[in-house]
Amino acid sequence: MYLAIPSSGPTVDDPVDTRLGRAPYFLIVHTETNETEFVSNPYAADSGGVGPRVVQMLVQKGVTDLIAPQIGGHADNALVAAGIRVYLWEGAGTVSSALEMYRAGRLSLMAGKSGSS
Amino acid sequence: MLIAIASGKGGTGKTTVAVNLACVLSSSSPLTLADCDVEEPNAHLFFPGSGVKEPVTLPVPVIDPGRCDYCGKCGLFCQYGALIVLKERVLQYPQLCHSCGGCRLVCPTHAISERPEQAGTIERYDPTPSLHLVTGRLAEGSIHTPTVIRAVRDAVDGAPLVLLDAPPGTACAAMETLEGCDFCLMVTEPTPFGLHDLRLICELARLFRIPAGVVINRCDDEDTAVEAFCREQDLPVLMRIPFDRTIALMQGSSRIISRDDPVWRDRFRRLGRDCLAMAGGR
Repeated sequence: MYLAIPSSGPTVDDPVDTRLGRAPYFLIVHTETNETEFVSNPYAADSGGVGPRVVQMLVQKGVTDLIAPQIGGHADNALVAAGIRVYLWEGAGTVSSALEMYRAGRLSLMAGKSGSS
Repeated sequence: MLIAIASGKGGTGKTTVAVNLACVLSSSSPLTLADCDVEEPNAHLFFPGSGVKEPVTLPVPVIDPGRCDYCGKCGLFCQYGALIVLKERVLQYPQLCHSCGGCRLVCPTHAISERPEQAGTIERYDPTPSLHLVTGRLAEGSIHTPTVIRAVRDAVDGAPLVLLDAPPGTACAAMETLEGCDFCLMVTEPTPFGLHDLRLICELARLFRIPAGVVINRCDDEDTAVEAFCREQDLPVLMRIPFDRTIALMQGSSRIISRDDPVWRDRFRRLGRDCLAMAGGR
């Protein structure tokens, strides 16, 4: 399984980005091997339709779990269709703290459409 | 001849000026009023009636699941996120599609065809024997404002005299309305916002090389920054409409001041003559 975390920068000490489609980077973590990779978001500065395309990219990377603060309607639809589990990220914090909380099982599944899938 | 009534800023009185001009000019020759403010058309409120509503459509992709092998090429091609390819599913957002047809071209298995998606409607009728009204209306949720405006422009193509009630702003929708017009009447108000957006619409008209004139609405003082700007830019102020409760009341009950008040009838006749003269002087 792969976990994705939207990040404001290319290191685990950067804050979790508050947007999904326009996050500049994603940390992708293999949850069994703990291998990590930062991917830059090629759609971050595009004019529109970024949410669905980011979900498409995450699916291609094999992502099954996502930590995100808030999600737009188009992306939410795509996450449901792709069967990606979305964990709610509230408040501020770094990517590494989000990863720790995920591993400790302290994040809850988002109550929206994607959370229930 | 095409005369656009534009403003930059919303709510300055474009439609008020357009319906009054339509009223006086159509008394002497046949005229078409084209409501190009398709996101919120309102000229029809002054000319009750109804006609056939023709759909305005755009082609959007249809995927044949029997042929699609989920290779993902279409999803990577689309710059608008209108279709994305998941593992064994193509998810479509027709409302984001810009109808470029690219997905169809890049599909190696020819799994993509097209169907029409409604972007809006066009309604046309004759409120009076010499006035033809064409109203464009954007479909709820659609983003294709310029497409519907283009359809309105096509519908009035060839008419001898057309007034185009433009949408506010100076972006795509206003450009689609202004392009190719013979004259642009800019309606503004003596406020900082009115002046700011008058500058923008003035710049746009210049870009399109369209001669322009100004109507200042809600105007009680001729010594304003808007007047100074018009002098500085050589923009003729063709009419000033005072901030008048009677006018507001008539307007609010969808009456037309140039039809009900002989003084205003003469003023709008003069404005119409000025517009036609400036449009013809191209």
